[in-house]
Amino acid sequence: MEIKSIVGSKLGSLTFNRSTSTNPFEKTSFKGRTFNGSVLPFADVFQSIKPVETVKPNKVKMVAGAVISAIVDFKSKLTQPVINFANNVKEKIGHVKEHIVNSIDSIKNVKTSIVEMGKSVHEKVAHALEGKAGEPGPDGAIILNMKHINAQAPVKDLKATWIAENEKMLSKEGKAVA
Amino acid sequence: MNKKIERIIDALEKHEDMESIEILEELGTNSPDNDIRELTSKALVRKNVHDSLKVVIINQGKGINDLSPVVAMSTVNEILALEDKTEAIKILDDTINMNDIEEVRENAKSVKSLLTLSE
Repeated sequence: MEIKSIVGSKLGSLTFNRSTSTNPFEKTSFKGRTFNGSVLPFADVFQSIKPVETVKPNKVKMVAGAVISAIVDFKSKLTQPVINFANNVKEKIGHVKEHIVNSIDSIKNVKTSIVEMGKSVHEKVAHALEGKAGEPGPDGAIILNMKHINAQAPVKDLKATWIAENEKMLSKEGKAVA
Repeated sequence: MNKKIERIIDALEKHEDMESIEILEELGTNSPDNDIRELTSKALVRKNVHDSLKVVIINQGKGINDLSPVVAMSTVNEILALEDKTEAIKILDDTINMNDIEEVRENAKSVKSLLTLSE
């Protein structure tokens, strides 16, 4: 009975305020400030009045988004090589065109160089023949070439040329006999 | 035929230098080649001067007296084709009258007869 009375007196002295909040520091003064926030019961974690509802991801939307992104990616993967290929072809055509133009120029240059080479050879041959025609033969006469054999040429040169031609023919005949 | 020699003969035929006749006689009419002899005889006739006609009319073995009938007949034809035959007839007459070789005189008579007939 004594204990019961003691407990009863003690518990009677304790007063529980359940009317406002579960915050144990509600009545506690923090340097003149009073905390009025709500807290979770039996925990030192604050609980908001309205807990934030986490939005559950929609699987259908996720799949759809993935599919769309995949399609976009596929499109980019598919179209990009085509564009690159077209650009490469265009560049290569440009290079080929340039190469052809250069080739044509070089062919033209080759033609010019061949003509020049032909002229050079012709001049050299003509010069060689002229030189041979101007060589003094026997008795100081000149052995003429076909170009210089005419009625204006000195008779001694014509005679020397005729003799030289006879000797040439005789030597050919001698070689043929041998 | 050698084209160069052919051209030389042609040049000597047209040459004004009388030495050309000597060259034609020396190298042309004495050539062993019939073609060269024929061409040379024709060239000498076409020159149509006393010295050149004399070579092909009075010399034995040359011109109208050549051993090759082709060369001889070609020379005769060339004489017959001359526009001015005065000098040729004069030389033929002298040959008929004065040449020592009978064969040459006979050939000259034949050519003179052909010239008379052709006129």
